[in-house]
Amino acid sequence: MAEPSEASRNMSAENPAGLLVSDKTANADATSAESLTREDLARAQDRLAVERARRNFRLPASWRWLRLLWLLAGPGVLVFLGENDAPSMLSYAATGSKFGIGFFLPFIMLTFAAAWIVQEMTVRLGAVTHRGHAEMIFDRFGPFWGIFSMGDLILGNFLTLITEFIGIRAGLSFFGVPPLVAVGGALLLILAVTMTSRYWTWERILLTMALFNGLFIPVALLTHPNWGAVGHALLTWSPLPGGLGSSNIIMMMADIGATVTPWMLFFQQGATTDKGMQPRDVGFGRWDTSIGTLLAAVFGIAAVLATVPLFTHGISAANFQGAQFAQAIEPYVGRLGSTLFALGLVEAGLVAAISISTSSAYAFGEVLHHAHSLNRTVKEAWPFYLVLTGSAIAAGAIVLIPHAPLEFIVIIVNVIAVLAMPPALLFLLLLVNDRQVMGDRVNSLWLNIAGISVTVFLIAAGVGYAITVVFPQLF
Amino acid sequence: MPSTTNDSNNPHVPHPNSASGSKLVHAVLEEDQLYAFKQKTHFGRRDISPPLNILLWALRIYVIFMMAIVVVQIIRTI
Repeated sequence: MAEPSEASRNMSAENPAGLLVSDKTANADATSAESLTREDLARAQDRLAVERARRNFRLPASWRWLRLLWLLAGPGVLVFLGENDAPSMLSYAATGSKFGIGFFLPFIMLTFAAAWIVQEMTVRLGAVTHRGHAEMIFDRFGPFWGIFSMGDLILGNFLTLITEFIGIRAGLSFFGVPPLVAVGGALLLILAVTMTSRYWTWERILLTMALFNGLFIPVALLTHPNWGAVGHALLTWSPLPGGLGSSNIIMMMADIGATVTPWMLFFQQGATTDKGMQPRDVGFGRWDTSIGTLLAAVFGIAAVLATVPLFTHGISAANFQGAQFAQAIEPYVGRLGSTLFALGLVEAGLVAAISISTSSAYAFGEVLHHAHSLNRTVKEAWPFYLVLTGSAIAAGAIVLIPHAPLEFIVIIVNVIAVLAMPPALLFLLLLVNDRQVMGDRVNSLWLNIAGISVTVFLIAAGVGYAITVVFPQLF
Repeated sequence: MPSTTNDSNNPHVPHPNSASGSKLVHAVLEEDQLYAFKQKTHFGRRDISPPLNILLWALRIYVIFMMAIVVVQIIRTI
């Protein structure tokens, strides 16, 4: 029989009554050979590749390390490139066109640093417990708090999903694709990717798609940025132009919400678990998360730089929607640049739609104790796939409703994400400091200071936003 | 290490009841990674102290208040 995990061993040692509570209705050995599932076997195959790579001493150590990174990377890169989604890239584009680079380049870097701190905790939690985030909250805090947490997730995820389809629709409208065809085609692609019944295949397809988030880099290069000014902006951090006005605070909130959101916690912990990562893989999980953070930060800053010519030439982009940014920058980056920008929006929407709907499906499956793995077939885990595809279809359908208030949803979705984050972070911090769950892998003092600082920062941003709404005369 | 010809990229997974499949699973997965184990065992409830309860409620009220603010802003914008 396989060894129990570090979490199980610690629980047994520290809680004689048994922190792991057995289902009293169970009358069979939970891990007997007869009860093995396709999910277990598929995950074991992935783990076998990892074990082989780890013991392949014929390879030089550096090659062995790279092979292991290749096998164990995925959730971290996906969560960050997934979060560089359509509304996020539009927020970055709006930032570049309205403020240039002075204040927001270092600010965006700061938000990505905050996101790394948060996401690293989910990797550890998933690798040690082998459970998803929703399941851990329900188990440790009970259904009362769990339902609140799920409510935040469902609302945020569904609104964000709508904005992904808005981005896809807007991006494809640049090429003259009708909305019905754009949304329908995106849904078909999402269905095709999620129906592979194999986590590894799904992950690799999605990673390949996500790398196209880099399309914003050539667009930025086509604007011929002043690299000296970019370096100066990153190192000196200029004051916010116009001060802390209402619209500026909303822009800051949108940029924070472009990097730190509740769905990321549920997604990365769920994917880490589904991938079968174990406590000794945490180091590679950190590298995965770091690579994802770096790529997403570079691509996000590229989106800011891509629209800086609008700021330089005094072109107001206050009411721009997705495709209008692509059209507006065409005089500065040419047809190629504007085409790449529009394609980048489509990619951002597609990858995020898949990631976000997967995070909803993981959470539902964990809470309802249904099979919730991409290693399952549709027949075996139909509730999981129903939530995944059903939420995407519903969001896509809303985008097609005539006169739906899509602009408001785009503006507000990142703000809502920031506002819902503090309670999610509290649960996360409590879980990763729970020695009965995490054993020796609890947060260090510095990680706790960093995690609490991020939480306080997000609360302060939310309070600042509330003040601008309640007392607009002050600004 | 079990001897198996299956590669991680191979979508054809051995049957769960086959000897090779069972051997592989038990060799490389930790016990609490198995689906059946996770279905039948759950983490117990932790103690929520009064200060922690207050903190949880405070942040819950914060979120509800902030959502009301968002609604106000949407109404004003409309």
